[in-house]
Amino acid sequence: MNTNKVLHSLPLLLLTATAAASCKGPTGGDGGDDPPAVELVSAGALEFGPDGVLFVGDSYGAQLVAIETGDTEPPANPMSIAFVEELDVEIAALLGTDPRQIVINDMAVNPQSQNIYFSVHIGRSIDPQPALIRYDHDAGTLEPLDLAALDMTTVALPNAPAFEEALQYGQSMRTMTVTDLTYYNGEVLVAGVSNQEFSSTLRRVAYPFTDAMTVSSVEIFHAAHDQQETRAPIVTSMVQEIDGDPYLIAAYTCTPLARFPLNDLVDGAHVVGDTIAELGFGNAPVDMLVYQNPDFLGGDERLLVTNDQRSAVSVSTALLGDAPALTEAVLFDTEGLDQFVMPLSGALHTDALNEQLIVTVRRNVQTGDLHLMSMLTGFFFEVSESIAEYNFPGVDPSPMEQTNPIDYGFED
Amino acid sequence: MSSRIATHRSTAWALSALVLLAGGIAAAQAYPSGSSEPPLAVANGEGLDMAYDSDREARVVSGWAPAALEVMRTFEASDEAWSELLTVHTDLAGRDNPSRPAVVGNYQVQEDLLVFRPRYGWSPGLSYRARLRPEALRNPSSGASNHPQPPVHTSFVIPAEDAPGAPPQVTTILPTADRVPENLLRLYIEFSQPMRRGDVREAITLLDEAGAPVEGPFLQIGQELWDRDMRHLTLMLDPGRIKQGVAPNREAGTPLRASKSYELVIGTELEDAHGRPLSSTYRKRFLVEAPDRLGPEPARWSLTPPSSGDRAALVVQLDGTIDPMLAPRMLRVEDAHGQPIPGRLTVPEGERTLEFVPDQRWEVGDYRLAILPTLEDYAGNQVRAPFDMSPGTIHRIETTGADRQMLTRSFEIVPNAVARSR
Repeated sequence: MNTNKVLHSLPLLLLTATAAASCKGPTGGDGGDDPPAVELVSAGALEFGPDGVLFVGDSYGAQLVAIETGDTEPPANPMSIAFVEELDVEIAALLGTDPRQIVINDMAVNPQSQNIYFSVHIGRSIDPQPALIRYDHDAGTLEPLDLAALDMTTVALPNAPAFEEALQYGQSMRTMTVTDLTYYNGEVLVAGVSNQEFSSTLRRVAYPFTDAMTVSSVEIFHAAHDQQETRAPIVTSMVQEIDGDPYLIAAYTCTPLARFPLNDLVDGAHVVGDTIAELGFGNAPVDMLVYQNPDFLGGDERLLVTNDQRSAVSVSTALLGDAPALTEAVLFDTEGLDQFVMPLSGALHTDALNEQLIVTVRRNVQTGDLHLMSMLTGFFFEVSESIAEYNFPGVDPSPMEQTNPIDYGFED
Repeated sequence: MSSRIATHRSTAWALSALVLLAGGIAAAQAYPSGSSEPPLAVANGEGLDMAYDSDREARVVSGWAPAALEVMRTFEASDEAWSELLTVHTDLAGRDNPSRPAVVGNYQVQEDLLVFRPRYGWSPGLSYRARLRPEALRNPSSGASNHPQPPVHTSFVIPAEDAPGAPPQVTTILPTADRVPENLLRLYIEFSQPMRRGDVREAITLLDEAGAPVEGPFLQIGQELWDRDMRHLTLMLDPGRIKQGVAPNREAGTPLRASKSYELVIGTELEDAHGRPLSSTYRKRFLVEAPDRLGPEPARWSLTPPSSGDRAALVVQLDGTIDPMLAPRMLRVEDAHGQPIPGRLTVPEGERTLEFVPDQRWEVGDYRLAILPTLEDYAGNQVRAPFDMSPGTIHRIETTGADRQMLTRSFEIVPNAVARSR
């Protein structure tokens, strides 16, 4: 099934510009034994590694930061619901600011503790203040991480090569926004997009951080018979093992799902992936997670992709390996892998809480409140959000219980 | 809080020093009911005052009895006893809820004051409520304490920052040309001052000839593409709709169509860092021409060097357009040994020429213009490969070494004569 090929090596220029630039912490200090303090300049994409290590994509600081949260205790009550009625208002209260100043950039669940972490910015303009917030699953409370008390390490994420030294005036107007982080087997895969040049690069960074970093460029077939490159960034991705080999499953805007053999993503490689599904135009993917369907829904393992304009879809992970690369044009339709449309829309951030529950951040369509809410894996909906015949007097009530204690503002 | 913000805020507050006094709490005399132990003397004879100290940028409580200060000095930074004693909440009209968390901050005893600083700083323009519960202090030896005193509540407002200067304006829209190819990939908008994220989708529209908005013309990735200064916004036209043969292109077609004219409208929903809307709606009309499927070809550029001994510009006539934001990073002038010549490289209006002015006077000798293969034109065509061509004519970038290497064009500065390009 492996039709991917490593095409050629990128310029030597690129390698020298990127690989040598990693360092531990900002430079400076007085030459003492203490490593220089790591400072988070911004807080974007989040991903958990093992042992409570939280990776944070810091686009403004052009760095990947690892935080040893020490949060490794399993939850006392794993099946408790994670719910916050007004997540933005609660976080703003903790941080001492107005909810309109709060931007929630990303969310990640620590799989060990099932605590939920948010990367937040205070302020929507120049120099936003970053904060990391933890939702304690057992206590049901929010608290900001005290970064000064935690061990952090960092590695620089250099921009693509350019004659930067030729700039004679002012700061570079180029930014590289980290769009996605994926941890697999001792490495973090970092995808990003620049506000200037249009090129898709994927960095593989070993953790604990060293000077080693591999940079490859990726390209996908789109749903046309022409084997054309694209330079669009990976928006969300994950690693899935297929017949013992790791593959990067990546979703792009408008909305191809592509497969890359991880072993091909070596330094300097230009790798063409297989597009194995088109999830629909006019849309961008948001998050991805793998879940196990309950037995009465088939019991199979599935990949969920949430979307910004369309409803979430799930595909069977058993088909990811053998799904053929799309070779024909797709007109006004979805294509490729069988897609099952899920009743989950408007999800700004989504992750698996445990095997039975996912958590998602979305606005209630009736109240407009920004909820952190839990949903049963496989169903992915909150029964109380829709009114059905079940809900009327004299009719047998729905077999499903309301999961989240949403306040709809009705009189008791 | 970053030092930069701290400096900024302290300046603002120095102008309007804010000190709010709570009602003083008289030094307690009575023992708590049901206790035979002596209570902790919380306040001195003056009573407790709670105020905002603009110099410290902190909420401070003064008037403590020495014993109370001793007890507080034993508290660890993370001790919950602090928040039993003093809490600060944001005051949001209509959205207050008794169970809302208190502002996270740092409590310290400094001399004879209890000082509270929020970890993430105060928010200009926002109201806060502080609650002091003196009875939460306990006698460390007996555990007893509890002066039967009601908690003290005060409110205070952090003054809003004065917005400096005039309301924000659009200063440049790139490309400057009024004719663009159908496969235009990027537009850049420059503002007079730092702007605020989050309103681009609502504020910026592309209108067709009939004045109707073009549906979904721009790439949506959930991120607005600003530079660090928040003064330069990149609008990327949806590459999936531009690239021939891919699904979105076949379904929806290109956002721009040749021989039609369009208007980019930048609305006043956009706000600057201080929340002030754009001074007016900005519009740029442009006519769309046939798609440009070829990248810049430096071999076809015409270089006109100046005569030596002055700081006149090297002028390069291009074979088409180049991206004016990429050019200064993808091009440089070097001497014959590859050493960069410091100077300023600009792309004048129209984006069909380049100018390079050295910082120092030109010296007689051989020079070259170095070009990275990733230099792009308006349509994202690179020197090394076009963005796309007609379906079927371009496959993968089957490359040789040539397109990976830096390209150069040589020129010569000659004495006392018009220089020659070669």
